Amino acid sequence: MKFTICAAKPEDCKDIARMIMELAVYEKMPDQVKISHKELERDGFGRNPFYQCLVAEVSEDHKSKDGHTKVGYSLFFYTYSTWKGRTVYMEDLYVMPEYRGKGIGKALMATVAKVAKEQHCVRLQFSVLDWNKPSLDFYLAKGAEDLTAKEGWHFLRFHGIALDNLAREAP
Amino acid sequence: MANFILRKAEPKDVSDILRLIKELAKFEEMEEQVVLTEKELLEDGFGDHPFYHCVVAEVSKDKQSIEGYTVVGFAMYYFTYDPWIGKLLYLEDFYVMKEFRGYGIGSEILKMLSETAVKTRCSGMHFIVAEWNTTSIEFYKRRGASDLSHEEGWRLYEIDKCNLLKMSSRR
Repeated sequence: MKFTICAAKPEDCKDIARMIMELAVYEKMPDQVKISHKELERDGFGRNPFYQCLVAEVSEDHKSKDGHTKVGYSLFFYTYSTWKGRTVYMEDLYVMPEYRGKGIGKALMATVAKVAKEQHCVRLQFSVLDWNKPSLDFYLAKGAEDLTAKEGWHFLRFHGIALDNLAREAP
Repeated sequence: MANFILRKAEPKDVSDILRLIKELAKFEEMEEQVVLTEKELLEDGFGDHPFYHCVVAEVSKDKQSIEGYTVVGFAMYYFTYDPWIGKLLYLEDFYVMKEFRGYGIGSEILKMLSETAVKTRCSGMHFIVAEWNTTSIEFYKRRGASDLSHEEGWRLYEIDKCNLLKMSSRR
């Protein structure tokens, strides 16, 4: 099946928001999705974009059951390691279930890697849920390393009320 | 103790920042992994497209460290994006020299960062901590941080430069 991978445009945000929700459902956390295509448009396509996004598209004759031609996406941004310098962080990678096994996920990730190389990034980081075996297998086959297992890193967060409380004490 | 000030890092601070980065890496038992140079820190933080933001803690000359340093702490952060909740502030490094701990410098840095997060419309502040670093974990948990690796099962993965190059050349 032929497909294209292109940089997302503002008009893609409704499809991206749809697929973000599909991924959140898969990750068993749909109630945690609080933003819509409006915030995605504002935050990804303004003067100071907070993320980059690639979209995978198939032709009309291969559209999904519900009539979609945008069938996968990858959302990423640049981060910084004080040890190694520029890094790409891949926040989301998703392909609709009916389009899997056709090389779309691999192509999305390879394009992120290409962008990373062009920007002189030294590595690609991302996080995966510990029960998500299909994704873990996919990434490990490409040479990914589990840094939580290898070096003991845990993700922490200040969120909502905790963040407000902390900020209220600022000098 | 001594009064200290917190201020935005300037280009002249890069050698102090690199010194503190190496001290923190030594504490994390990974100092041989620091390959970043002052030149890269300068270009990446103070060029056309900053990859990070930095605040430093400075004491007066009469309170300088044993080796004569007045820049005694720093925090490096950047903005990331969560497709579920939008903008986030990501705290990459946070360190106060040992002889200057216990005086509230760390607390003030964290408060300043949380205020920045709230002012710039971030939904949260994220960071990683090594699981054996119980002192730091307690410091953060006392202030309301949650451990997402523990609570939700997120694990940090990485693909290094060599594997990135392999991925980007195979299509």
